[in-house]
Amino acid sequence: MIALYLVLLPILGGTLSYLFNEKLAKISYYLIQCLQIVLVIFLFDQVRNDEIITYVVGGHTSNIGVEFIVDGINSKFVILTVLLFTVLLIYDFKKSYSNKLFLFLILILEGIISGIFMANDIFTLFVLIEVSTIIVSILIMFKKDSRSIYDGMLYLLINIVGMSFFSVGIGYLYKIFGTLNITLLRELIVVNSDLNLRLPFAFIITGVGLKSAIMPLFSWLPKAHGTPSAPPTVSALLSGIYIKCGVYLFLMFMTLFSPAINLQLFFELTGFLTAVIGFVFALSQKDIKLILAYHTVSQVGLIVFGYALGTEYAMYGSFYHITVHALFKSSLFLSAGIIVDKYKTRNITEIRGLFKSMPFVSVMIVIAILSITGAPFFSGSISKILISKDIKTSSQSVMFLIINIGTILSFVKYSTMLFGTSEKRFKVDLNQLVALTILSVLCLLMGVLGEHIVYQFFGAKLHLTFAMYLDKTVTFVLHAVIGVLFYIFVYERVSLFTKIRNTDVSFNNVVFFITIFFATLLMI
Amino acid sequence: MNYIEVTALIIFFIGVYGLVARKNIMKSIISLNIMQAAIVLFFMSIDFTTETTSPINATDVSVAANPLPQALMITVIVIGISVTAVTLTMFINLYHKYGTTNWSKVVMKMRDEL
Repeated sequence: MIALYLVLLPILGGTLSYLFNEKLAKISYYLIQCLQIVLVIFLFDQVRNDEIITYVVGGHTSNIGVEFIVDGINSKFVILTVLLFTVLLIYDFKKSYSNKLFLFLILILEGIISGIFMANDIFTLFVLIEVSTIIVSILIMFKKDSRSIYDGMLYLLINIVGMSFFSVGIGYLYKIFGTLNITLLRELIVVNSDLNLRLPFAFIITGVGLKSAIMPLFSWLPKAHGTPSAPPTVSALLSGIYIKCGVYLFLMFMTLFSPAINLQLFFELTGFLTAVIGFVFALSQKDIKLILAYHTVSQVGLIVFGYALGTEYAMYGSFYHITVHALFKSSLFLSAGIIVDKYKTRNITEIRGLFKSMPFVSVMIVIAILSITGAPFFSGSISKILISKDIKTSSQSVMFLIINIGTILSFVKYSTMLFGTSEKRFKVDLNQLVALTILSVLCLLMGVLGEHIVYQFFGAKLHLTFAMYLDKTVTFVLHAVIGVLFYIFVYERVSLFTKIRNTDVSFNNVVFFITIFFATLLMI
Repeated sequence: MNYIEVTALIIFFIGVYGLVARKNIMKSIISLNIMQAAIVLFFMSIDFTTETTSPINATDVSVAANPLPQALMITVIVIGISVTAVTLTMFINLYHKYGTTNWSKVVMKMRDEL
């Protein structure tokens, strides 16, 4: 039952509270969020003993009803969702844009995202994703200036095209197997692995691939996540948790179809290329929000790459990275929001001397950067250790190394704004600092207590010795030195980056890429 | 594969063609609607034979058509309508700002603003 309440409470409660006046509505939204936290604690208590909870709405059989399932892995994502939304609401507490309409949309989105993680039949998934797409596009254009209206509209149209592909795929699966339930489909596909599932596979993977922004289909993401005028919370929740729904579904459908169609190598390469293109684009940008947005693309690439490696530990590493990326990327976006607010510019070459002007915020940024680049003792390192644990072939380890160095490169550029001089000293609101602190502390904890958390999450034993830490530290410092040297001596001379910065992909081109991707999936 | 399924797929890709080849925003929205119609037709082709009767008020359940795809399609139609409504609203807003219905002209005018 709790699973259903987690979805329904924010949606119904949010809608009812919208009827109140501004002040009362705001109070009741924060109350609903507190209730959500209580519900999530109950949920955590229930699934702790490796129980799998299923709940079918309306008491139908699971074959025809709307089913929610909570197991060991997706319960963590639900907890993460509620946690992140709480932090974002704390951050937004005093903001002028955070009126009752904004909170209403945010709360509905929270319910829907929990629903996407828990839904166990593909049609419910389709409906939830479609509704969340509309809400996200409204949130993107919340401040209603012309640039954000274009970005929001582009986002909505492209994603609806993707979801149309997805729904045809659903139709095919239903036609072949006569059920929409994912658990049943999983069993049926294993039994009938000789059936030709190429067409539904291509349709569905195109849809969820677009949602998760993998290689040719990522051009909508920076526009949506990095829109100049969107509130920082919206960017943070899009990059932090919403893109993870797409990635989670992508990984889930990859596994679902794997008995019939095994394209491990293809997905490995797609993940690698996504990561590379992501950091190359991130390096070429000057707008801090766009740098972070492209960086999300590259991290999605890493997650898909890790999962496609196929080993058990790499799979855990991908899931771990989904969680920790949500934490540090939202921390980065929120701090970027503060910076843009104070400096009144998004251009990275004009922002200097953060250590002098906002020392506390810059410490938080440093923690997030160290986490994302995989420095030892920080959260990113644990997922990278898990992913690289069972890498066997040398080509895979070279690919992993390139992704690692690329991440560091793009963040050397991002960290230039910490140094330099600044005459002013800015005062930051307390609630924003609290929000940032929660995220940073979690980033640190996920790194320092990595072994225990991995054991708690997946039941897998990870043993980190002192020698390993030493080894990781040396490699990290080496990579960082390479990154700094590259930035100082090579970066300015490469004209490719300027070219990339000026390219813009139109709506027609994006749909063309979707079609090409679909055709590729059919062919290989 | 029966002929309804093939027709539905052809209509679907006509919609995709419209999205790729036409620069008019209005036509993009219409193409999306064409795709949506194709999806509805596609779901209707599931388990379809000419002998089946409508599942509502069916006197004999054994000849009634499978009601599940039809129930799903009501949802798809509702979502389709709301998506169209939202995109049209956004389009009106965009048109008021830039005074054009062309994707590339919108991008050009946006560059001029910067």
